[in-house]
Amino acid sequence: MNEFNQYQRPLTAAEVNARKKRNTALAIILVAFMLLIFGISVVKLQGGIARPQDWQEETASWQLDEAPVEAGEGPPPGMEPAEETTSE
Amino acid sequence: MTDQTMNATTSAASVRDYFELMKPRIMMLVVFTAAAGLVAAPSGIHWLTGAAALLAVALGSGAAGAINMWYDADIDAVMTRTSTRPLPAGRVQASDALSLGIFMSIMSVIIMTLATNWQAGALLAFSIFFYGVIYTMWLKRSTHQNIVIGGAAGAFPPVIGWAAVTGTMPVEAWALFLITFMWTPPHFWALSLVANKDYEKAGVPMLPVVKGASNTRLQILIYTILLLPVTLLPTAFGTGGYIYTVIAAVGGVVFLGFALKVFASKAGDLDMEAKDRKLALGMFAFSILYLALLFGALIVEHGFGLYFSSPNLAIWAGV
Repeated sequence: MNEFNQYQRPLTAAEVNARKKRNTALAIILVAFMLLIFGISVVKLQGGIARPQDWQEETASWQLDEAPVEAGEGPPPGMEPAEETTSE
Repeated sequence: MTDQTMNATTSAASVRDYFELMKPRIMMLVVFTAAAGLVAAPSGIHWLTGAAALLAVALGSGAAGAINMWYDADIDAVMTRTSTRPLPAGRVQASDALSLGIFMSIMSVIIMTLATNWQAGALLAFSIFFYGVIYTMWLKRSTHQNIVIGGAAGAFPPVIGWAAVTGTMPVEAWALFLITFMWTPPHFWALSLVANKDYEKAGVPMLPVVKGASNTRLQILIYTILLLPVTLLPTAFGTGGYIYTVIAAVGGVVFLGFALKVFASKAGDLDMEAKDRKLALGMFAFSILYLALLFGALIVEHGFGLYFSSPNLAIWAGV
């Protein structure tokens, strides 16, 4: 028993029923919100990283300015060791 | 608090009571105009993203409605038309309405921003703030121009819809804004002519209460005349095709006819007769149909492939 119990009373059957309906509605809204966020995420991803063909087309042009490197001939582009500098 | 005991005030509140807090009829019109902006924008949008944007607009409208009901509970209790709302009727606690309004405001802006872009989210946030704070807490009880300025809140949705698709807010979108903005005063004043005693009793400075019925009827006519060319702006910018143009022209003439009849009537006067009251309510009812037809025409044209290009006055004018 706490000090606020004097303002409380047992709920009637109608009130319990109303509370059950409110809770059910809340549960449905929460599940719908979860599905909505999931759906939005899928749509957003489809327009971006989930389309590898677009990524390949985009990155293909990056190597046009590089000199072609034969297989097994030196490190891949961007992985060359830094040139050594001599100090006098 | 045990499982079967709780504070008695909200224990019988139904889901419908909470839904009623969101002003569902206004919400429908707001979603409808936002949908028009969404489909009229010159770009495509994924159906799920579009649906999420409309849901966000609906939630935002409901949030603003709940905040409005929370703040206006005292005057709603005085007015006959609003005395049965959930708060004055005691079915929902004031703090519950405020919590619902704030929570839904945040959720609507998050959903809009995640689904579309920050521009649409920001404009939605501003429109909720405009209705919930600027109109409800400031303008409504302080100036007889409350409806004119406050009408902007209800006019933002087509711009939000447009921004959700394109991320921009061009002049074509603001033309749609201007339609609802200019439509709101004659729409609402037609109702307030009939309900002016209610507003007087509650101390709300609506135009008929402050300036009288005669001045209100004149203002209704002036705003209706100004509205007619505004409804043709989408035609000028190429947003509205032939279907829209015909509906705007015919609907505008009918609306003007109502305004002229109301102007010549005694609607709102102390010796108002039943036919005057019926006329003002008729104008109020037609105004809803008129706006729905205007934005419905845009949805039909752009959403169902029935757009037939009308004379683009903007090109002629060299804009």
